[in-house]
Amino acid sequence: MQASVLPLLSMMVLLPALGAAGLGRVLSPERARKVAVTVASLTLVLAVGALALVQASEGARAMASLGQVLRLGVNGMSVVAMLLTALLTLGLVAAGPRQMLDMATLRAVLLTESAALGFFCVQDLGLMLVFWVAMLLPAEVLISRRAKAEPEARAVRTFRIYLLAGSLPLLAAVVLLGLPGWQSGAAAPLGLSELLARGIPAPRQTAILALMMLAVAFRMAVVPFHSWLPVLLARGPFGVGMLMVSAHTGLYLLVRVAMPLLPEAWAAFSPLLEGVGLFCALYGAVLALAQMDLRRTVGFLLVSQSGLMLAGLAERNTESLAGALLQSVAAAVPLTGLMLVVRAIEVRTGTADMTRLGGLVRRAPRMAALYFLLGIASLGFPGTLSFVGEDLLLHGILGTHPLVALPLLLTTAINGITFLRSFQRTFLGAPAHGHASVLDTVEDLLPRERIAALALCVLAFLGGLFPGPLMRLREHEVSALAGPAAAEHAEAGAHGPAMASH
Amino acid sequence: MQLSDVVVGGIATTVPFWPLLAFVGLGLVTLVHRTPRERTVAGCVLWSLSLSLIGSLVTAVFMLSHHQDVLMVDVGPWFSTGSYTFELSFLVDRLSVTMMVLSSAISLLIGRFSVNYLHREAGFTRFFLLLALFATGMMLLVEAGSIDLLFVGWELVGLTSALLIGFFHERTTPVRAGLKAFTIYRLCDIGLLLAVVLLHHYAGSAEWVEALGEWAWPGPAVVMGVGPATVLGLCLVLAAMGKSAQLPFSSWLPRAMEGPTPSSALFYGALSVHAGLYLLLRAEPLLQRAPLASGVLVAVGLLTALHATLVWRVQTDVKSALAYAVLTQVGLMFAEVGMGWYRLALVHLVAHACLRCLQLLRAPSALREVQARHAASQGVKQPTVAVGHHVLPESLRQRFYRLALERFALDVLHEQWALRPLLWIGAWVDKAERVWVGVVSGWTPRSAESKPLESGHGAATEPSGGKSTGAV
Repeated sequence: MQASVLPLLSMMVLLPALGAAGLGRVLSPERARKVAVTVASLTLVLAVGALALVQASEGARAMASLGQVLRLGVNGMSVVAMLLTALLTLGLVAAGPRQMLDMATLRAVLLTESAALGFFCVQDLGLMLVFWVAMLLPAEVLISRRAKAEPEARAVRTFRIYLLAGSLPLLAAVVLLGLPGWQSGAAAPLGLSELLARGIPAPRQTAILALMMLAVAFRMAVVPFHSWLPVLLARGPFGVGMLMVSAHTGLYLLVRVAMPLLPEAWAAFSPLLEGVGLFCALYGAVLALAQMDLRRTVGFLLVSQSGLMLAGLAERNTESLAGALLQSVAAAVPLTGLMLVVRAIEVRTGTADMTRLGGLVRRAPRMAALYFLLGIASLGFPGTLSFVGEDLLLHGILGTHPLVALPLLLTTAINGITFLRSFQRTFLGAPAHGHASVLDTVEDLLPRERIAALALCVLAFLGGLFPGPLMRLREHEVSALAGPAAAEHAEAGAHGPAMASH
Repeated sequence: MQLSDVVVGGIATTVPFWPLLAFVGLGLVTLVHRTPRERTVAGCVLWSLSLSLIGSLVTAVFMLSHHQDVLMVDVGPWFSTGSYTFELSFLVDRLSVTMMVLSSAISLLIGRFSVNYLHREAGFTRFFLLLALFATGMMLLVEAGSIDLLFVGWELVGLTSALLIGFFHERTTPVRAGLKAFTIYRLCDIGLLLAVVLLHHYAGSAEWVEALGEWAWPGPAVVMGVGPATVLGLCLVLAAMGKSAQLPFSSWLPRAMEGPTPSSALFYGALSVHAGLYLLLRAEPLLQRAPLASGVLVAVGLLTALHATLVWRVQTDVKSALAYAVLTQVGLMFAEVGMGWYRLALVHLVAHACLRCLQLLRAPSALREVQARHAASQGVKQPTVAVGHHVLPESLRQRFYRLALERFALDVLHEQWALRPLLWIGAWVDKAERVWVGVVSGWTPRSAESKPLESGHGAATEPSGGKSTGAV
């Protein structure tokens, strides 16, 4: 079992990169799309293989090493992240509109996937940093190339400033973490397990966590550092932005590195983080309500979800952690589907502006139905995965201090209203004044788009009805992280069930 | 035939799931394959509703004949982590069995009525799908053994209600009315969600039986401090006020009549509008412990009744008049619950649901009936029912008349005090964001405004008319 993990994981990381390289040899765009879809599906199959591996070793880690530094491994946490990344990439590549998926975009999407998968596999902080930066580069190259040609793409330069600048703090944090190891000449100064074994002295933790949080806040689009996301989604290349935020690399870094490695500093920071998270959630919700552009609406909904997850992590009890991790899947799957539908509308009508749409349901009933289902699946409607996630988050956050969660409740309420409003303005009512001729020629979703959206939808609903397997995959991590805090929480909550059983 | 507890429990459990089955099956076929024929759709939904009616009746007969007051059915955990578990459990007692029979019977009858009423309507399948989903939600709501599960049903009812108000989606007014109802539902649901978590917090369990005591309904006051009980009670009152359109939130109800008549009868005549009341009746041991919440209930109920009876007098269409008539009665029921007359409120609820449902179904032929009555009375002056207002002084009467015509301007108030500030903040911050992004990237949309924006993205290219695509 141990021997088989190395080829599997390295193949999974390399395959999309090789595919992207191979795209250069393909001439026709149609062939290129087929190659990309094949590569993405094969990657998904490999990710499922990794899942089977983790299942076979019964939730424990599967790890293999090639020398001291290049160690690859999977556990429940990373296997879910890998599956999600592979799945969303496949969805984006297979169902994206053809005119938006030119060769360069396809290559960027595949390279981003490869970097994200690498990030989830490696067990060394230095390599994590490398992949963290590598995730940005394909998009960056693509954007700067575009910005020369199209003036409007220049707005996306925000991306460079935000994300490349946002990676510097992580670099500093990694250097700070690795310094003692280098000085003492340890074999793997940045290996995760070695770092855990060595421990970090408490006075250092604060600085390191602050730097790391800064990098993560940029990546997760937490409020003061979020401006790149709506712009990238509205004007940037197709797919890359969605993949970058939906892979939840920031969340993974927090759960995998920051929380276990810097527990004291995390405990000291958590009230601040929770405040920031809740504010971010509410801010994203209000801004999403004010948007008229569907792409920006989705962007701010993502910002709002990031805030919820951060608040859940900061609270650090079993429910809120499980909720935050579940929410990372529960929001990413349907929101990606929603973005696919929005892009489909955009290529059909030439706009994603709600004031210029309306009445689309007449020509495209299936599009409307799928948009609706994906929307309610992303907003915590009962029977969907995000309901389970939000329910857990709510219990985790409210359980400790009841009034803190008012922003959380307002967020979910406003997000629901935002979604229904966008649905009604886009699909119901009369076509916008002066745009009826365009809107009356809209075609319904093509089979490939329909299958992708339906599959994401089915996943969100099936996951909501049977969330058990998904939760069990990461149970180990959740209980390990909540360990110190959960003990006192159980103490405090002990009288509850006891009283109830009378 | 002897039925055991377990068998009846199983039957009661299936009650919400028959309509769900019909919804999922028909929905998948419609989405993946094609829209089924009218006959198939109606047949499936009506069969499922009949099955749930039979289930409710069997349960009711069993409870009556065995003089059993409470029946708990534990289906199993839905999901769990750490110390928290979401239990799927059903509670059947006198209150919920009454509501089960009422809900399933009315749903079935309305379903049968709609087969003819909506024949060849473009949204026939959609209506029946939503009807099945609503029946599921309502059954879950009344049968739920825990407040968590009640919330699931509550949300289903809210969503189907909003969608059915906007049933005639080609016109803008019904769509807006649906959004308005949904907005108010969503905001008031905050109260219910708070109550869900606070009940966990204070009582240690969200199960009704464990939190409120296992008594035959109506049970005695709950064992809990007055403070927590008051907070919980107020949260529940807020939730109920939204669902049952009580005073500050009552403006959505008359607008909701834009939906097709059968759905108006089902939602706002019979079931959905009484869901808030059901919640309060269910949580009655809490309210007994919370005099403040009960007082609020009485005040809100009486004010709503007064408001509605004033506005009712000046309505020019029958469905709006009926909507305000509904509000009058529901307001009185709120007051009854606040006074502690729970049985009376339940009887009032059942009677009102049946009567109002019938009246709303007959609303489309109201004009013809009035004409028939006029013809029958042959010019004899009819006795007038509106006598009360003659007692009032002239100036006051005029003021009330004006207010009633404006429906007390509740719409304007909501707009001015809630919606507009929120949107204004959102728009202002959004503008600031755009300026900031412009500064950071050195490119503002304004500079490219003169050129067509979407030229790079194919399809229709229309100039944006001097307006930024994202501007509000």
